[in-house]
Amino acid sequence: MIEGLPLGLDDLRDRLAATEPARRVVVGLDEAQALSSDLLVALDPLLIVRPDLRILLVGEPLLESKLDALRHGGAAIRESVRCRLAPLDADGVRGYLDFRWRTVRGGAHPFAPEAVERIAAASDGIPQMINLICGLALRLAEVRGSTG
Amino acid sequence: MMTIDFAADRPKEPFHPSADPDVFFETPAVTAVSQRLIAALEVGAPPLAVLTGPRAPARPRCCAGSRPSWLARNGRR
Repeated sequence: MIEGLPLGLDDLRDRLAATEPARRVVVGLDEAQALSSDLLVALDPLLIVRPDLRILLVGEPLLESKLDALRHGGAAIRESVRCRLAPLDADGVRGYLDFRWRTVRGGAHPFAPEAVERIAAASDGIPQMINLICGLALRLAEVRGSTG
Repeated sequence: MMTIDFAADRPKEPFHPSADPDVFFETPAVTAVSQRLIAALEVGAPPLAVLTGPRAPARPRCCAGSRPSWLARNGRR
């Protein structure tokens, strides 16, 4: 199940209370840099009383600095692992376009090589931006009755 | 709070900003990170893992005047 923000600590507790006992629960919190400090600080005690619970925080780099600042302020925030994903490079952007188009529509995508280069540069290799740019480009091409 | 049914009743589009696993593009780096996260969540102690990615620009240079923040406001990538 995917649910939208805003999420409060009471919301999280309510949903955890409804989970089946004896089953492991994994909670993924996206855009976690936007979570309140109170909620982030409350995760550690929550994990102690709920040994069946696993939490994955996903967000922008601000999330790391927010967690570090809370920890330096004395909060007990213990992580087992911290991972970072880099933007896609130019080859990655090409692969992303190829894969998404081939998977959904089949065949080769309609973007010319020069257009792919511009998409890679304008998006900074961030898939969210690639989606946005390509979606707008396709809509524009549809309106104009053109491709490429 | 809103429940988002992101893939069931919508035709697939190549660049729809959804979390549809059928169109999830996986690079070797993503695979490696996924494996680390899964391992940490399975056996890690404490069972809290953190994943960060690059900060998306508020507006890509090519799309000034559009409203890409719609994606963020809807909690979808």
